[in-house]
Amino acid sequence: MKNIDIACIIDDDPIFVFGAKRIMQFADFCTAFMIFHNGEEALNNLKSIIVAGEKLPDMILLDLNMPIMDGWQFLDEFTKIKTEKKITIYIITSSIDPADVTRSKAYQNVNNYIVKPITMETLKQLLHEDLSQ
Amino acid sequence: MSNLKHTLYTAIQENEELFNFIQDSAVNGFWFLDVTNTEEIYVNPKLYCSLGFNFESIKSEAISPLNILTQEEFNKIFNFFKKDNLSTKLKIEYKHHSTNSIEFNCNTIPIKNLNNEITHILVGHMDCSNGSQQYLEYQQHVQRYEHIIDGTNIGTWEWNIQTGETIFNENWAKILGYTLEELQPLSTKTWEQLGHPEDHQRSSELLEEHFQGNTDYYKIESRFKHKNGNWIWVMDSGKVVSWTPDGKPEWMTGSHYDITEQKEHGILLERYQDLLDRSNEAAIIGSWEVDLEKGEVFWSKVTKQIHEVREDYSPLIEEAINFYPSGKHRDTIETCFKEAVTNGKNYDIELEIITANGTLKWVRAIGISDFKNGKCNRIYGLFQDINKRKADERINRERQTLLETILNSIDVGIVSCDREGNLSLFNKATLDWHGIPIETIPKNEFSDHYGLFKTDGKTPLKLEEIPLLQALYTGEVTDKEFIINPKVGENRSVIATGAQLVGEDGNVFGAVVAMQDITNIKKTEEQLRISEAAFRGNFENAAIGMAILNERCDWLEVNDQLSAILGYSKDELLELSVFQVTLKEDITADIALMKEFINGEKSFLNKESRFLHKDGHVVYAILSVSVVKNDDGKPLYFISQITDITPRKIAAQKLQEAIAKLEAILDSSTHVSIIGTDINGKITTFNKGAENLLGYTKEEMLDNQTPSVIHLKSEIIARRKELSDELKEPIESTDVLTAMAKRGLHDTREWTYVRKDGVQFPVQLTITPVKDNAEIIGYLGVAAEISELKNVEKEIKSLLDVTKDQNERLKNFAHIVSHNLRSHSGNFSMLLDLFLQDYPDAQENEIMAMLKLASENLKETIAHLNEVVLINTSIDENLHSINLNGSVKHSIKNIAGIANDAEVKIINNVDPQLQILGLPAYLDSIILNFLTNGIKYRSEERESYVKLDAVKKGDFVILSIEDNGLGIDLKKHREKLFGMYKTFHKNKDSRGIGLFITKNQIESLGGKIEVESEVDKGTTFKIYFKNEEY
Repeated sequence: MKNIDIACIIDDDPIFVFGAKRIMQFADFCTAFMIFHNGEEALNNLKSIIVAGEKLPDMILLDLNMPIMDGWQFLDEFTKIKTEKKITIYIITSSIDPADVTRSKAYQNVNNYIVKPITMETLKQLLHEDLSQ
Repeated sequence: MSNLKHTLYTAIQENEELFNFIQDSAVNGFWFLDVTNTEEIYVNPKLYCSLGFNFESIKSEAISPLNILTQEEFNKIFNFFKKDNLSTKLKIEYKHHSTNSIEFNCNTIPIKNLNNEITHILVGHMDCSNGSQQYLEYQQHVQRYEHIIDGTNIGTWEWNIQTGETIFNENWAKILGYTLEELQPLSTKTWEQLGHPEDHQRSSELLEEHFQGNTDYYKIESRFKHKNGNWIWVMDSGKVVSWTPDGKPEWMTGSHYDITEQKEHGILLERYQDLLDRSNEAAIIGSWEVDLEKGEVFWSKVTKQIHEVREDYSPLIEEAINFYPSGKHRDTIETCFKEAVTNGKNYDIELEIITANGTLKWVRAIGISDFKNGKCNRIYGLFQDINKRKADERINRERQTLLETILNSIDVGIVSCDREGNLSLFNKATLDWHGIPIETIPKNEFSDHYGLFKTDGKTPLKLEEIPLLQALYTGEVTDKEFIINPKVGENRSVIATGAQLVGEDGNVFGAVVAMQDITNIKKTEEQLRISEAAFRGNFENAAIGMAILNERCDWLEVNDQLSAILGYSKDELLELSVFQVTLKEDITADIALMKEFINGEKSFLNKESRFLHKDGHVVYAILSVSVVKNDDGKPLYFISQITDITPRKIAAQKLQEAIAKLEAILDSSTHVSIIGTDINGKITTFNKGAENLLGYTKEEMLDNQTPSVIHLKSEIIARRKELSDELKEPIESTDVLTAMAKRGLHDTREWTYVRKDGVQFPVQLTITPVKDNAEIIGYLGVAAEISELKNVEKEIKSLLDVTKDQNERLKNFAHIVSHNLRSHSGNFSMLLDLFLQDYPDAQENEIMAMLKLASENLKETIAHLNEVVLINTSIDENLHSINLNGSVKHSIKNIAGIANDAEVKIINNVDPQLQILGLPAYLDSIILNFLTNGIKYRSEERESYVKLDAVKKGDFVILSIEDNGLGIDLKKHREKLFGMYKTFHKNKDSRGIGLFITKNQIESLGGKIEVESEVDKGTTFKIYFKNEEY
């Protein structure tokens, strides 16, 4: 099932990060992970990767509620950066607030809005969607 | 000729252009010519007429084109056409009937055959060319005069004195009994032969005088021999109308008029008069004779008696003359006698003589001269004592003068006539009225001449309607009233009385009519009639009640309005006395008033009065009475005018009551301060409430105080600043309270009042302007103490704060639920999954299975909590109109699979027109929930159904969802039915959250829910939605 090179998880919840990583490894989802604990950390690191010309992740799993810089702020900043590579962003959140769902649709590069917890099934579906694009 | 005419008419029918040509260009007629046969010309009658031929001669075809066209002119025209002249206009000269020539402007139009060759020519005659037109007009004038003269019986003649040519008209011959034809050939001979020989000489003399220019007209009454052999009298008059260049008379024209009848009457009358006079006098005359040769004088016996001389008296010629008093009389007789002697002239004179006895008397002396061979031999004559006649004449003359004076001085028109109806007298009044004196005119012209008209002023009186003639012929005047409308002067209406004048012999010798001028009477009558009609109209149609009463106060007349005011019919009213409809307590006063009227102390009255309506209620009225008095100043009758003011009176009473009530309210409001000020701010009203609240007495405050005394100064200053900003103009501190009210703005605000003892308390004060019509005359301030209100307000505010606080906490709680709790629960279930993957053996562990179940339950509970939290309680503004039936259909479609499997029939009876206010997501969720419930809790023992129905009721649409399922024991569960986590069935799907959420959703849409249910029968939910008009 290894189809994606680098998957990036931006979430402040270590349990989720641990679980997600385990499920993705288990499902042989990708070869490498990039883990950031808030939006700012992710943005800074991704920027330096771009500057250094290193390899960017293929996919970002983005949480909304995070300290320092939340998912929305990250999205606003990140969409300003031009990347050669198309990065698929999934919002993975525990918020089931319809307002959040609506808001997420305003971002073109946000592919889907997934409510936690994630399961193997969800991941498989994501990968399938991602590849079919 | 008729062929040609036929050709033309056919051509006109075929060619409209020809028709138009004739209409436009043949104003004075046309002619029509065959080019190939110029012998034939058709001339239409109009052209002949235009050339002065009369219609009769045209019809008899006694004239031909050659009568009107010279050969040269004809050739000229024909050549004109031959040259194929393109111009269609030409001038043609014609011979006029009067032999003059006349030139017409002509238009021509050629008529062509199929080979485009000209076959015929039509020549239309427009106007005459210069000069000829005027001639034609003169000709027409002459013709007209001829017609007029033909209509009379005047004969005309024209005579060329130089050539002897004579022209007579038909009437000239007719007067003499001939036709003109019979008298042909006409010449001066005709005249000479028919005229009376004795008249010739006089006629010639008169003609000569006229030719000499001594007379304007030649005029003679002469005799002519009628065809029947009699001599007739003719008034012959004429005038020279043209002269030869050397000044000799040339043409003379004149007229003959038969005057035989007049003439013969005149002559006859003269003779009879003469005879009568002579014979009457003959009886009392003496004779005399003077023989000039012998110088003898003979007096007959009567003559001597007249002279009062002895019978044997033998006068001498010289002596005879002495009987005449010297002067006028002697001179006259001497002259006459001398004339008789020298010239043979007879005389008949009336003179005075003095008799031998010295008596002065009138005599008539007739002298006839026996004149032979230029010498008078003797004079003889008659001598008559006419003293009595003279005296009578004098008396008559005096009487006549007297009568005339009377006649002319009275203002009665007197007219008389003789037995033939000829007017004989007009007195001065008559003369003035008619504006003209008596003139000799035929009777049938009386009306026109003297302006006699019927009373309508338009129709002239017929002969038999003229009063004078009526009097003459019938002895009385039947059409007494008529109008004199003279040609000059004003119209007057007159009444005539008349009688025949009967002589002593019993014969009627005339008639007399006396006319009285009634113009002014008529005018007065008319004015009286108009004012009577006006009064009558006024009286009948007046908007107020009117009545006429006699001095005993009986109604004489009442009008409709009065009967309406009092409720009685007019007839009923006339039966009643005034006092029967007067209020009892007013009667005495009314009678006293009447007395004042009758005594003449009052002539007019205007007061408020009360009457009794037929149905018993009091009618308030303004009564105006005026008195009409007779010449003696006694009241004849009263005219009363009654204006019903009952509604006004009642309104006034009601107003009075309302004012009293308001005053009571003002005073009873012990806890509301009502303070009124005048326009300058001085307190004018200070009620009990104000006294209570403020501790001042009314007396203290009305003493030139202003409301500023009860206000906090600091508030006034603050408000002043505020107002100045708000109204963008500086406000005086004295105007602060009234500034808003003055500008028509609503002004209710909180102020602090200061009691007399200095205690302050909050009030809510409303200040309104007091207006008289549109003008502000003061202000009213109504204030209520709001200390308590203030306290309550404070409490509410703190409560609100608490609520707000709690709401905030609730929001946080919701957030915790939706985010944190969920994340933890999510992690928890994820970790469990991972653990089981890592340690598959643990699957067998019972505790692990329980842990897994607990995790699932937690997740579900959190999901439910979320739903509840998410129901927004303030979504009113987001509601929109939704079709209820549409939503129901949509939901049915969604659960169709489940319903089918469960064999539950869903029946939708919702009216497709119904709209409700809601949110589509909520509405779908609500309906779906109930449908699912209906299916879920169906009874397995019967065929199940869920039935949906909806009705509009007031502001709501009620959706009822009925099923025949298990039902709910409402006695036990009503309270908990819509609670969270309440289930009433042991159904494995029941979670006890559906109804709780549904209820919340319904309520957040502004609706409510009701339930009816019976165990094992079924349940009906009634859901109230706001309808779209809400």
